[in-house]
Amino acid sequence: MIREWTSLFVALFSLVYIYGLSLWVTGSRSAFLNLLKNPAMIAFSFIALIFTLYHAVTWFYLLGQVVPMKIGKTTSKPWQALAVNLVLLIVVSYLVIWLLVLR
Amino acid sequence: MDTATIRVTRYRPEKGPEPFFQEYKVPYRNDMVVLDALNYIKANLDGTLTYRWSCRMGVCGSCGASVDGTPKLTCASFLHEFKGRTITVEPLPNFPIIKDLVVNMEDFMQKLVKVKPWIIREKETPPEQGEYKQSAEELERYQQFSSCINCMLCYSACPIYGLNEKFLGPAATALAYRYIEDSRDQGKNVRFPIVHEMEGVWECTLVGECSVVCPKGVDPMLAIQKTKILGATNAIRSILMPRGGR
Amino acid sequence: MREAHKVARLHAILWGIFSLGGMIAAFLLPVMIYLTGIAYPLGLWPFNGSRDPSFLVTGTLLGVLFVFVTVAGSLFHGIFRFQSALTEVGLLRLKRGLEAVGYLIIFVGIVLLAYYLLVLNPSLPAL
Repeated sequence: MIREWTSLFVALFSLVYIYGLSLWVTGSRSAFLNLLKNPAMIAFSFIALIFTLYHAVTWFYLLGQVVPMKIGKTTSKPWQALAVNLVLLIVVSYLVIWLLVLR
Repeated sequence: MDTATIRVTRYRPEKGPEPFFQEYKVPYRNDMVVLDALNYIKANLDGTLTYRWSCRMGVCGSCGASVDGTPKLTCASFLHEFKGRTITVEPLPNFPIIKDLVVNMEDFMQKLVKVKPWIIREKETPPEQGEYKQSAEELERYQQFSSCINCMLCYSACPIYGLNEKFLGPAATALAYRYIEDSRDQGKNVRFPIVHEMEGVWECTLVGECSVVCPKGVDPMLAIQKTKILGATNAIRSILMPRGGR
Repeated sequence: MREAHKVARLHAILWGIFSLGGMIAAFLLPVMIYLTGIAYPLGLWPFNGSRDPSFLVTGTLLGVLFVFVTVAGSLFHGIFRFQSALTEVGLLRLKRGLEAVGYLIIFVGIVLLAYYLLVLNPSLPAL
């Protein structure tokens, strides 16, 4: 049940972001930046991040259940899919930061 | 002597419109299952108690009931599994009650037949040519889904089926998938429209309780998810290649 | 019957997009939330002390693509899934109505997102 309601935060963050973006592109850049620096917004982002990670973990486990991989004679177990995808998540996240911010 | 109290749903439509609970005291032994308690009641305390059972060893699928709120096989539920000495036994949820613990299985039976649970061939080869051969790997792809004993616990556990009787449901979809994945079967064209209609797999919201309560490890949730993937890829393929791709 | 078939096929595709959105939300959304909602306002890595709003990663075409895919995919997935959650508790019995609202939010959200990122975006170099 919790798993399903975390999806609400995924949608909410997207909507809040689009709203903030609308502030910026219609001329008031500072309004967007102030929105982001608002403590309530930071708290919301923290919660959204936790729930998104919860979604990611349950999603990877589900992938492990629904699409098991065959390597030779053995079939993968869900927790293995979870582990591999978590590593992939870290790699992709770093790649994004490198490609878009650090470069 | 150690005793336990069994609270059972009674329903006698000819006597009264509402179901009611009746309590019985039964002996409590470590090796007793709920079915033993029901049989004790029927043999010694109240011969009118009505319920289904047969093999008493978890392979026939007849004795499904809601025990302390969870759909279970009464022959596979030990009294000592439950908290305290009072155990509530009710008929399987999501099905109309006929009498006491006996539910109307019609809808379920119709759904099993609906998915055409038999090998469908485009062309039957004559018996002289031998059997349709199948390797161990091919067998493994559908074997777990053939373990279903039609006990209906999954339908009782599914909240979507509770809300929408038209939903094809876990066991029927697992059965369809068992044939879709069977290498000897060539009936995808026939079965896909059945499982991929709106009330087929698309009503499922992945609650997953069906697989939790299944006593045989069929994992109908997995069958439904895999069928959804087949449906999505099929739909995209039918749009990108309307005539080809067969 | 043809109608029912078309509706079912549409639903199959929507489910496919929902699954894709799930992948996106799992792999791309965490870093997006971190960068936008936590690292920037608190001045954490990779924005150590830097207050340059190009952090919004919308100053490059690649950045725009990233933001669009991540936010659009997550929005679709989140709303679709939330509708499923409402169905499970029986609230979507008013089904068609509430479902339409959900899809409307998704549609408007994605259109606005594309408009903001590609047309009105002040940080994007003139194409």
